[in-house]
Amino acid sequence: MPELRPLKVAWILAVASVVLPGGFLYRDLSPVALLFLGGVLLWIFLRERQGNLRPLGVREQVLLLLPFLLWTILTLRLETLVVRFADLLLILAGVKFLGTRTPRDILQIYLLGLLLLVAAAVWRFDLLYGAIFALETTLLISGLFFLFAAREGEKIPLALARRLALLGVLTTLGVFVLTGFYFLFLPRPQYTLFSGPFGSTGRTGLSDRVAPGEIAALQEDPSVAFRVRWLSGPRPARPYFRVYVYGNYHRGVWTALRKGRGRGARSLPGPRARVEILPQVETRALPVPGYPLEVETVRGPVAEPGPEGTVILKREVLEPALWRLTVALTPFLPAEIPPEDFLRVPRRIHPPLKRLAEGLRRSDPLQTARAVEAFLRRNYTYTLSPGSPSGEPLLWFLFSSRRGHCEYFATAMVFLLRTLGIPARVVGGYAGGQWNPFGGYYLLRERDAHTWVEVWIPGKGWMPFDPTPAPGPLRPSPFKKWRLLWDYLQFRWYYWVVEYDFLKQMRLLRHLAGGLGSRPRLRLNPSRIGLPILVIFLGLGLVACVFFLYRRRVTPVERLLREFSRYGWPRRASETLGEYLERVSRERPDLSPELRTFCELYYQEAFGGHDTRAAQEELLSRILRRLRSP
Amino acid sequence: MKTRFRVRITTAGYLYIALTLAVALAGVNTGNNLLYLCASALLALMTLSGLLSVINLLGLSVRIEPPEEIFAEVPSPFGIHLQARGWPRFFLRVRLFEGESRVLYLRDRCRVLLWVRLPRRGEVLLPPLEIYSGYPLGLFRRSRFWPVGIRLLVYPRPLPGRVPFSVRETVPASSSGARFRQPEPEEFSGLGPYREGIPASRIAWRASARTGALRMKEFEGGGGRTLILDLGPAPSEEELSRATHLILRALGEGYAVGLRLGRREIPPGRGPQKRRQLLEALAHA
Amino acid sequence: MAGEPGIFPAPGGDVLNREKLSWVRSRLEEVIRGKAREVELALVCFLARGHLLLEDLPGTGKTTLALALARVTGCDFRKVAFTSDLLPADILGAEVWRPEKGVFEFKPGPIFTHILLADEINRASPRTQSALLEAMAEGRVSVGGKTYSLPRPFMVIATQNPEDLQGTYPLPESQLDRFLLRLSLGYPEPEEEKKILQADGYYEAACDLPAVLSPEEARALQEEVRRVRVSERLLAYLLELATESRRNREFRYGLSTRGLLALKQAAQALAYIRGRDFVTPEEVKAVFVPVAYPRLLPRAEIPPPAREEMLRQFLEQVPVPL
Repeated sequence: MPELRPLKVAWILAVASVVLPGGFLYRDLSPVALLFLGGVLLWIFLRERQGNLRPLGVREQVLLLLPFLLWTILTLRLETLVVRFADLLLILAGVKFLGTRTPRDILQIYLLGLLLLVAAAVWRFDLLYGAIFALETTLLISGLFFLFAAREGEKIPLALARRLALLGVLTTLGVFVLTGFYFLFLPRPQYTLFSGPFGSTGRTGLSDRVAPGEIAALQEDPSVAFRVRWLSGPRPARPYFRVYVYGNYHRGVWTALRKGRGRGARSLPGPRARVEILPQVETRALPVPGYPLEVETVRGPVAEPGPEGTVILKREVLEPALWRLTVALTPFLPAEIPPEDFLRVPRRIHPPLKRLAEGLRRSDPLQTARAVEAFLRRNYTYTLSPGSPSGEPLLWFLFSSRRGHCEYFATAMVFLLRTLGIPARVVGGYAGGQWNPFGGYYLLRERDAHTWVEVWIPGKGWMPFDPTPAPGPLRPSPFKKWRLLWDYLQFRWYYWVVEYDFLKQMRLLRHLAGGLGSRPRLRLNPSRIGLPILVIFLGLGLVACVFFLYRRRVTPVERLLREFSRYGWPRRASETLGEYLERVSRERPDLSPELRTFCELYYQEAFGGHDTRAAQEELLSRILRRLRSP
Repeated sequence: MKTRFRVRITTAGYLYIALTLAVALAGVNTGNNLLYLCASALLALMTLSGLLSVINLLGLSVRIEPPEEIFAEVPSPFGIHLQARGWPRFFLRVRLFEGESRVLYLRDRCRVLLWVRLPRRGEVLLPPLEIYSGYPLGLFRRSRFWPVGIRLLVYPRPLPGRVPFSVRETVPASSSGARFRQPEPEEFSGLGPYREGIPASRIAWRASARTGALRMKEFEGGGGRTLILDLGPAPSEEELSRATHLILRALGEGYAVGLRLGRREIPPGRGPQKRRQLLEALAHA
Repeated sequence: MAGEPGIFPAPGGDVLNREKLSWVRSRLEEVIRGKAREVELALVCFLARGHLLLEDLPGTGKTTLALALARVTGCDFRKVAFTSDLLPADILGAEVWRPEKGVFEFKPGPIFTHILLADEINRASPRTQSALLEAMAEGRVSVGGKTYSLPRPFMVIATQNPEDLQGTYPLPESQLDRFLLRLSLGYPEPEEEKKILQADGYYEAACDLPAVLSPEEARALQEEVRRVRVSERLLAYLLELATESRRNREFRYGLSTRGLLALKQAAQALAYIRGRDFVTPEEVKAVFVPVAYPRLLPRAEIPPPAREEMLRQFLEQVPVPL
């Protein structure tokens, strides 16, 4: 009987349980640890092939570990504490690979793999962590199965090993299901005991100071900045998400207004919308699609209405957070600071602009603003790489290069209007974004960052204008749909796993209780019921798989015996098939030749190793036909 | 059959629980949901492992087949028949006293042999049979007990050496000589299972090698030499042990053996029946 | 059971050899009338390179069977009547002084033949018996410090009279399994007996049988028999038989590994004779009783026919794999 050493399988799984997460996290881990691990594996592989691998003793292992330990201690910083710790785990695992391979050692390696998984939870939040989690769980559980088998017997039959492997996989699937259950329903506290400075998304988004070229740099960046989930209310076709309102200009650099609190106007016209905002970048203000009426901080730093309809955060967001806003989708925003404050023009640029501005003056501010917008759109070119300005950036853009990005356009429009005595200001935020129908949210990427202009229309309010010419049609990507789906999965991961919290748990419980208590309302929202249905189908598929794996096909001889015993001729356990069929032939002599042939065919298969299954099937159907109609 | 379960946590199990708690606490502290996720997975694995270990011990039936002769403090083979209904069982260990045996994989039925050493002579009620397993992960060890309810008679432990009581020997006129002379080739009556206390010269090695169990040549009749052991009315344990050894030895050498225990007297004789009668008398003394 | 020809894969091995084997069988059946099963089993024994123990009353055709088998397989044949004064040297041979050469020279005994009929083997002394049995087991003879190989094929057909035990030395049990199988010819059916009377016996006819095979061909057949396939499933059945026999309380001891090997070889030979190149449980069951007879000894004293019946009953208790 072929046999297998379970310890060997357990060891291979142990190596995989360290190497695979290490590989996934290579971007974050130090190259020293990765190189060391790779070197160790290569060494083991070569030595194993030559067959002269000698395990290191404990003292040698400690000596090998010592320099790395020193290096870790010397380079220790609070921000990189966890990552250094993960590096150390990798190195420790590498050292253990070189040592003996007792069940105890392998258990320790599994522990290292598990700690690596736990450590990665501190700085990795994206869906990749989900992948690592699934993989690591599978490896560790299968490994534990084989490790236990190794403790029970040095060698186990191959058939048993196969069953263990299957059991490992099934247990893993069971663990996934149960993990989901525990995760969603185990009681959790409303507040954390203390919030450590762990985990930072690490990227800075739109800044409250805009210098020329900064937004252009952002516009090359395809990474996700925010997701804005539309809970209710109408959805604008191309929404503008305001983040900052810029007040001061100095040599091409705009600084945002941060002082002051919004007055929170309540009696605004226009429809209302409720949105959820999930940040992906470090930010100090939130993108708002309209004018904020209510701001609710679900998780993360407290957000409050800032000046001029912005929403600012008390401190920079670092951890996963969620805010819920109610906004008014109105074309005119109310003024909080007197609009006359937005009339200042630096002395250096006032005279050269005067002539150009006068030529664009129309009868009223609205017409003038439209004229300026049209002028800029018509006569200037949009580019992401306008070159570096010489002298005052605005004058350089207006009179010599005539090419620039949104910031130049917005600045030019603001100062042209201010020169004419019309209050105007630059607003920064995100324009457009990508609507994801799977998740019902706008995906705001860094490259959607934009600046535009708001003009004071007396008697109405601040009205947005966008003087930047369209950068040309977006190339539709063939993978757009898949990318949207992938982002949707990411979103789900963030929404249900990374940012799952006490309030969501309460909401889920209440939802379930409501569903159980009253007759469920028939609201077939495909995105709502899609997931449970998917889970149910996956479960059913799993059950079917197990069933098919364990179901044995009924062989012809089994069918023959079953049919004949129905006719009152059961086989005795000690009868050979030949003896049995001869007995039957005495009762039904007409079947005798066929039965003889069948017996011989069966023997050819069962004991002779020839495949006669097809001939058996055919003959059996003939026999059964004759049996029923004598 | 009434059965009981018991769970013991192994060192790895304690480590596992500690780790789960640590991860859960870290999750609560930092509010990091991924740590919650890890803790949930650890907890889920613990739950499933417990469930699997219970399933592994359910639906088993057990039958015990005690050996023909049991001597105190001498390991004797107990056959245990295990039968598993339905699904397969993995990595079972069967224990009775300190006798232990393992079953890697049980699909339908199997028989294992336990070498059990019973400490004292006399009637013994067997303790519950324990079947335990660390399956599936070795973190916890779950036991299940089967009350056996078998009463066994344990013979005294055979102890070689000088006998501290009187032994009468009658030798027929034809053969005179030392007490334990090699017997004449007597009537060979066949082969029988090996019994404790038989000298090695009586073992039929060829037959033993062929069957895998010790066999010995049995002889009937013989020279008519007789030993009668005379133990006092209240023999000590040591006397009983020595007497047991002497009886086994003498019967093996072809003597007819008799016994006097206080007022009780067993007439001399040979053969398996007599052997059992003598040993039972010693066990009950 | 033989099947319809044509739809099965052709059995391996030399087709001509199989053809010859069927002639051998039919020739044997011509002279051993009405004993098709016994003839088949004797042939099994020959092909499986075993030795045969015939337990019978005198005058039931034992010599005829041995002689006929030797004739049709083209083998040499010797017969030695065992008596109580027979010495080992009378069978094996001895060193004799050659005055003309001035040396001791080995003079081979009657054992140096292909087929040896050891008649009434239980009449010889245990010493002589064991000398023969040792030679049977090892296929060679050691005399005066030198070893001489016996010819191949080599087969001993030993006979025993089960009734007349006066002054005999029964074969030791440990030696009984040197014989592959044990047969009893018994009296023929009245119909056949009449024919035997009419033909004035078949001994003469046996003497005149033509040789179908040569010793070399016989050896080749024996080699082919060893290649008959034994599947895992069948091995499991054989092991189950052994386990059950060891567990059974009616036998003194169970089937040994050597006994199991004998069972396998006999089944292979029978499968070959029946034209298969693999063994099925049918063959195992067909050879079980004669093979187990000298190996599974009952605890109680039971006459031979009852012993056979007991073995058959035992066989009925063991489930056969499908």
